[in-house]
This record gives sequence, structure tokens and C-alpha cells, in this order.
Amino acid sequence: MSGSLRWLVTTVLTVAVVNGCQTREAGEDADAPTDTSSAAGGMDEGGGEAAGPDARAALLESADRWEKGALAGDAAAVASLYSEDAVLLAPGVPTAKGRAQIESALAAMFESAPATSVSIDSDAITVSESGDLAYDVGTYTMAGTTPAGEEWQDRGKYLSVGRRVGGEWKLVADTWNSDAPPAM
Amino acid sequence: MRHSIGLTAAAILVLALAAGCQTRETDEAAAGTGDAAGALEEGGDAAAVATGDGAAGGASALDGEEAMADLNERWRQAALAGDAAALASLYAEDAVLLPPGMPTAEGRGAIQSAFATIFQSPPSSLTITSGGATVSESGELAFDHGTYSMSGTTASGEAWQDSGKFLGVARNSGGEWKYVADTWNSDAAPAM
Repeated sequence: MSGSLRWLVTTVLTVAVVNGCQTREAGEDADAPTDTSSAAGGMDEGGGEAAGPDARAALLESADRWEKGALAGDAAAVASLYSEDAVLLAPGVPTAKGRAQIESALAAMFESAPATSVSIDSDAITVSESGDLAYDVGTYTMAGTTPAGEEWQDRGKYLSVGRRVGGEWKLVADTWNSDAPPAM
Repeated sequence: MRHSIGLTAAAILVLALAAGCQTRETDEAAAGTGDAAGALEEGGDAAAVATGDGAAGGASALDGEEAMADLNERWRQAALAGDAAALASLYAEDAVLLPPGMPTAEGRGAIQSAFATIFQSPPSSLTITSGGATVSESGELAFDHGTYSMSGTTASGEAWQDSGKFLGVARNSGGEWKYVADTWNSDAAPAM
């Protein structure tokens, strides 16, 4: 039972953590050049101004801010990384639609499972040729202690989609899940 | 306890189901499995698809929205059939699948293996509802998210059901749309 509870908490937390995730391993900063299609994205294309590099930097920065926000338990700060019409697909709860719902979902997660360590590691960011849409895939590990004093930890993977809206990059869809099979 | 097992099984299945998911609702019986899908693919006239005609692509190219709907439906049918090879064929060679409860599967081979595990006991019903696809301005990259619900019976005869959501990204490469990243998770809290 205690194991089950822990699992639950872990899952919930995990979910929260990964959320914004488009981040990457803590530490480095945003623009570590990436490969993938960025180059392509960077082109001039019709509407997009050299968006490839911008997209990467933006997603990496989002990830970094997500990580910091999660560690601080600041749901509002993390929610601000999402577009007004974004969707957050957190494990164990229905889809949160829109920034307000996303903030509520994040607040619940941060409250029930505070994280003392969060590491988000981006594996690859791929940008559309037009540079307005990009997605990030990576992994995360995190740990913390619940309000009840129980330690938890989890690792899993995330998929985040970012979009340039009015010259600003925002997360428009974000989800993650644990690598661990459901607890018994 | 037995409930736990049932839940676990359900969770795993759910995961599997949700996987390709960019599909859409439909709960009809697994019926026309593979071929209906086959019929759609080339012609690109997404019968079941709601989208308008391809203002974008010329000839046989599906636009992003049509492509997502088409992929989702083919995914749904392959999942109901428990056909891991058919499911894997919907993914790009370098695609990644992020199934709950197991590490990321990278590449079509690993994705097929993952589906073979996930769908050992395929669902008997699967409904996928798209929340609406979004396509890049350049038209070659699109993502779709939505919800799923499914149910079935485990090998040991235990009934299970689950509902959750999915997020899938697809890309048009050489005129052919394939999933490049796909994941899902259950709305249910982990079983006790």
C-alpha cells in the first residue's frame, strides 16, 4: 500500500514535472546549437524569419524556465510558457485546455508532489520548414518529498510542441509519461 | 488485488491504444481492419476525413489535417487487429514512440517491438477523438491531440477499460505522411 501511494504521488508529480519539458538538461543554456531540421527552419521561407534557430532557442529556454518554475513550485510562471489555447496532457488527469486550466493543473501537481530536483534532457528539436512549428522530444528525471514526508522519484519522457504566435514562441501542446509500469 | 492486475493490464493496453491515436472517434467493431485503411492511403481522398480539399498539395498529396485523420484511422484499425507491423508502418524510420510504462522506442523496428508487447491483448473497442490538427505554414509538419477510450478483455479473461489522451506529430516526407513522434497517457490515476 505505501508503495502504491508513493507511486501515485510519483506519477502525479512526474506528470507535473515533465510538463513544460521542452527543456533540456539543466544547466546549459538555450542555444546550444542543435541539428535536426533547424537549418531548414532557419531559411527565409515565406512568413518565417530565420525561425529555425529561434525556435530551438525558444524551446530550450522554455524548458529551462519550466524546470526552474517546477522547482520553485510556481505554476503561474510555468503556465505563462503556454499559449492561451494550449493543451496540457498530464498523466492521471484529463486534458487541461487553455492557460488557466493549465495553471490549475500545474498548481495541483506542484502542491501534491514538490520536486527538489528536475532534470529535463532534450534529445531532439525538429522545426518545420516554415519555422513556425516545432516539437521537442526528450527525457526527464526528478525527485522530491511529498508534503507527507515521503520521498519520490521518477523518470520518463516528454513530447512538447511549440508554435510561434505573433512573434513569440509558446508551448501549444505538452505531455509526458513515466517509464515505470503502473504500481501494483 | 485482482482489480489491480486488471487495472495494470488496462493501463498497458490503454497506452498501446493511445499510441498512434491521432485518430478519431469511431467505435465500430474492428471491422474493416487493414483494407479500409489501404484504400484511403494512396488516393488521398480521405473518405472519412472531414477536411476540405487540399488547397495545398497537388495531385495525391494529403494535406496535414487529412493526413492526421487518415493516420489516426489506420492506427485505430491496426490496433484493434493487434497488428504491430501495420502500426509500425505508419511511423517514419526515425520516429519515436513514447509509451507509458516503458522507455522511448526509437526507430520503426523498436516501435514495432513495443506495439507487439502493448497489443498482446488488443482492445475489442477503440474510439479516438481528435481535438483538431494544427499544420505548419509550410505544410509538411502537423500535430494532433485528442482523447481515446477503449476496452477489452485480457488473456486471462478479465475485462478492462480506459480513457486518456494522445499527442502525435507527423511529417510529410516525399509525399508520404508518417508519424514522427507519438505518445499518450491515461486519465486514470495509477492503480492501487
